[in-house]
Amino acid sequence: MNNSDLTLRQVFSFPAKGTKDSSPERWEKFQKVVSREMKTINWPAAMPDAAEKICDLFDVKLPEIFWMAWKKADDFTKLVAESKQNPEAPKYLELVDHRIRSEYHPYIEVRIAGMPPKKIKFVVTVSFKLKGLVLTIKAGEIEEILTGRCEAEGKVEYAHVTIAEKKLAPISLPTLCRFKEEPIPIV
Amino acid sequence: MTPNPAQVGEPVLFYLEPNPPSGSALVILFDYGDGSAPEKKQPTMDVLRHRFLAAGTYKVSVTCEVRGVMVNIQIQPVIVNVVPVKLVATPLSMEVGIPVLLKATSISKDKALRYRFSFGDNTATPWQVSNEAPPHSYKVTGKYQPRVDVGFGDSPNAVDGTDSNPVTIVAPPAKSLALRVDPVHIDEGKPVTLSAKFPAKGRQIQYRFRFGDNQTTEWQDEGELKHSYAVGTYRPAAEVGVVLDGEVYSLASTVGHTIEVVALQRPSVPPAAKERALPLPAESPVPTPPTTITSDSLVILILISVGLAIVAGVLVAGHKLRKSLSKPSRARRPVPAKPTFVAHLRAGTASVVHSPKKPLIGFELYVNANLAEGVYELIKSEPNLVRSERSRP
Repeated sequence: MNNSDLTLRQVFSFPAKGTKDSSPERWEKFQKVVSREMKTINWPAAMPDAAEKICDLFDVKLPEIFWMAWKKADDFTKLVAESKQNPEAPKYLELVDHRIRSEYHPYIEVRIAGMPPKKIKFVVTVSFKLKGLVLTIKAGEIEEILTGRCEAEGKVEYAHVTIAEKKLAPISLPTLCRFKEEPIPIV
Repeated sequence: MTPNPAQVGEPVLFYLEPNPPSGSALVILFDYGDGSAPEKKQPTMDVLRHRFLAAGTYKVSVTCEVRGVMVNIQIQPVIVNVVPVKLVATPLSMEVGIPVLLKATSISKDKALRYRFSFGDNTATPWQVSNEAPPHSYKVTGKYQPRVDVGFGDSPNAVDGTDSNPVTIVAPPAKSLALRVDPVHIDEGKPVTLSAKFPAKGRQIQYRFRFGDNQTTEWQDEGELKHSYAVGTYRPAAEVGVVLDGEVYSLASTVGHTIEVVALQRPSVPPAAKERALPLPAESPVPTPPTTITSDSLVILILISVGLAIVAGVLVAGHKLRKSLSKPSRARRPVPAKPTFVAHLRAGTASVVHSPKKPLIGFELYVNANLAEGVYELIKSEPNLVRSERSRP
């Protein structure tokens, strides 16, 4: 795995793409609940494939979650907007110690021929404590996180059934998190 | 005395061969004329060594006491020249962040010679034995004047120095690394060609590829290669670096088009129509169908026949299933089909991609991270999120 792609998949210890789940029992309760709702699908047979694709839901890069919260700070958005005025000159922003709490609802939509689609919605709550972060912004976008320290905790649930949980613990942020997947000038 | 002329810092040898008259108590005092303390020597055969630390002409004098009378003798002046040293910077123009190499050359063979390199950006090396500076990267664009100073001994003072040609540091090129992926939709096991191009501008450059399936290459000269994938979706990337003194320094990187690899299916359409390939380069001719039936063609024909039979059977089964679902009956149960997954996830957006070419067999799953509709809370103890801000000039 590329070190610069830290995602919720790693935070919740879901298996990497193409690898076997070391905790297949986590899907048993989910399978029972979803089987009640989707009676026309043989979920026990489909579960290995379904579990793998559910894990794809968590290929969300951590910096994207950070960005959704940072947008709420007026001083931050103002500086990012100012950087558009002088797009050639990067800015370095040092952030205060802060915390990000988020809750969002990813889903899988099941489509069966001749029937209305049905959504299987998950509830993901995740919280981060961030210290000593320095960002590089350029032309209105965050180019890099020259990271400090991060602690994370969270939970993934479906119909009040916990599928994955992470207790508060430090996570190792990569030294360089690149936002822009463009030719990256070395500074 | 030798050598004369000498170089700054080079030891000059004075051969002492006293021949005092009998009965004299000779004391010899050497004054080198450079401000250093005179040396007292006994009237015996000896060799004196002295380093002159600045260029110039020095009047060396010897004072002797002969039968109580002080006699001062001027010997031939010592001419001391500067140490000819040359400094070369390589290259003279480079992007920000990529090292420049400095190398000093001097005809002096003195092992006590030391070098100190200044890079012109208020940074410098300590005094060192090596005549090559460690690779130095400039952080800001502009023109810089590197310099080398030379000195002698373990705690030297600079006795001489010289500048190299100025070094110009420029901003790195934007978007000049292109990565072409061909094709972007392909069957499992078939190779995809990745081509990276970057203007070399007379430099030695190398490429490194990341295929998106946890495999990467080492730095290599070739900018094009082929790679086969398992079923899935992949985002390849390429990086270009410049070779300096045997090391590769990254210049730029880029990400290519997403590659979608599908399972080898019994095609109901000709294979050529399934692959949405990018236009082929002129040197890659479009393959023509075989004119003779080979064993591979026979296998394909058999697979097509079997595939058509399966499709026909599934369509019939699907029709019956629809009929039974519209009229629920306790005697019948719908047969669950194995799911086919089509998922392309792009975090932070609500976009969902479905391949339009796959028939709707059984059921399909679409995944959506739905990040945009989440709730995000920012908790901080200070009014502002940004503690400090610094701009690069």
